[in-house]
Amino acid sequence: MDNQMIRAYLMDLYKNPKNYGVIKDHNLVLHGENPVCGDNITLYIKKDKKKIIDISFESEGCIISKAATSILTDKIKGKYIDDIDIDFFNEVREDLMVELSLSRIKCAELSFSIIDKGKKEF
Amino acid sequence: MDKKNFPIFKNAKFQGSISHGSGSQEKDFIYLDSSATTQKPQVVIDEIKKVYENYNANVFRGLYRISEEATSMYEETRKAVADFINAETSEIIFTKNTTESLNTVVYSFAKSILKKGDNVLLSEMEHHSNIVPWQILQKEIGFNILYLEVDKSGQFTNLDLITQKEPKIVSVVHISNVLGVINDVKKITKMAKDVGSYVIIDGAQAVGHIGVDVKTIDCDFYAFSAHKMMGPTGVGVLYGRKELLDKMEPLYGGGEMILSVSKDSCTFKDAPYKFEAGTPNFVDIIAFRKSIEYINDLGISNIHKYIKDLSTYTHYQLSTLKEVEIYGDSRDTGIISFNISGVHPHDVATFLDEDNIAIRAGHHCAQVLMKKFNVQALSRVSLYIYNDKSDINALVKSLSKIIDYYK
Ligand SMILES: Cc1ncc(COP(=O)(O)O)c(C=O)c1O
Repeated sequence: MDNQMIRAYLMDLYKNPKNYGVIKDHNLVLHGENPVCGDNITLYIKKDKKKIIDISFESEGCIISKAATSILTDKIKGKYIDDIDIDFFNEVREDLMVELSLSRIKCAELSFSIIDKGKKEF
Repeated sequence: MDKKNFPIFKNAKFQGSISHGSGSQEKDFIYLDSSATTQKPQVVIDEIKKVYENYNANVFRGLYRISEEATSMYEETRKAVADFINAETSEIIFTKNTTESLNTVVYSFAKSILKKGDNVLLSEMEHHSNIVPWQILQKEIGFNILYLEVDKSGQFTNLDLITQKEPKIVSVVHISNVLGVINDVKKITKMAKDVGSYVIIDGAQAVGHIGVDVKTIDCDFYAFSAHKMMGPTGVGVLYGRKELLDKMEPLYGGGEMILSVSKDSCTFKDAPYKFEAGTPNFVDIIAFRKSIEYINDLGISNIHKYIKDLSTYTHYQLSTLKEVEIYGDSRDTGIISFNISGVHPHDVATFLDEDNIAIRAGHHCAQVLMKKFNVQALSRVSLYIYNDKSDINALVKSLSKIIDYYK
């Protein structure tokens, strides 16, 4: 894909993110903010013990943060929380298909770090 | 006014290949983030090299020729700074930046006069460097921190708080780094002095942009950074009224700042030296004089007028884009914060970067103000003498591409 196509792909994820909104039967809510830019994300999770059955999100933020959360929520469904590690995040980053500058990695990372910090809730 | 004296514009061109499929094309560097730090003219850069190559010897210590030369050049900068803001040389303390200057006032001065129950008055448009040190000291002492409130246009709405609350200290910004308003610090100081307050002014965005005369303002302390006025990084200034500096205890102890030391005690040098412990950043301080000379050669009132005109042009051009909302009404300085509806400021900055246009996006170290305006982040354009209309035209063109893209 050339850069224009990647951009169109990200823009589409931004405008039509997957898993956006609040799923009805969630039993865990996780929230996080990036203090640097004020981006914030709320994750609504339906879990069964350590397994993530379903997930959705609401957020305020930039293209990268929304697109990354869209990708992450899609990938994470059906997985066990203990399998969510840095390799998982690296896959999310690969799916974003852009080189992220140092200052923008934080945007992509936010939803992952919310999950990572929330592990103890499982 | 003269881009060609600033080597960055020659060196930071960008081989644009990713933008909008337009193929590879050299893009000029358009720098619109001077409030964060200004670019440096060749004369300042050359001076740094010259000092290292010719006069590198520790100031105040060596009893040999080049050390004495370095020391006298160091003192010449102090003289240039003093003249520039109409102070005495003994009232000019070199620090590393505005932040350190403000912290010095908080710990060496405010700490000794504040008691539990006293009021300290700040404003909602302060930079974190004029809020956080107060909050840290507040934990220790337990005084109250009050805020002057700011309306949408950028004006204070409750200046009468000064007369009502009779704060021990008033500490406010001269020019807001978000709204670009020039506060009437002379009037604020007068009101504060009438109720016996001490007055501290954060001049980080003012010095080098507008004429600053500390005697006319009549404040007790005034803080600013060399790097925001074409000088090197790592150099800050604290002006303090002589009588107060004489009474204050130093913040740091160490070499250079003492007269004598025994096992049990020591005596300090007089101000400003007692506040300059350890080897100072003398190379950059010496080079700082070149930026003051550069400003003096252009003339500070010419600089202000130039930026004001360009700011008016920028406001007008931005107002042609109906999606752009500007925060604050001021056109007096080159600081313009805005948002584009539906586009996150970080995305604005990233898209502009593809056209080699540098702006700032974020909370600008002013989260109190961001909360007041109920925004997470803002985009900010800030201008200085090397900017011109062509930069603004490029900005507006690039912004309209972004707006189209989001449609
Ligand atoms: C109004 C204001 N005060 C203080 C500062 C802090 O300056 P420095 O980072 O040089 O200490 C800044 C810098 O952005 C500023 O804009």
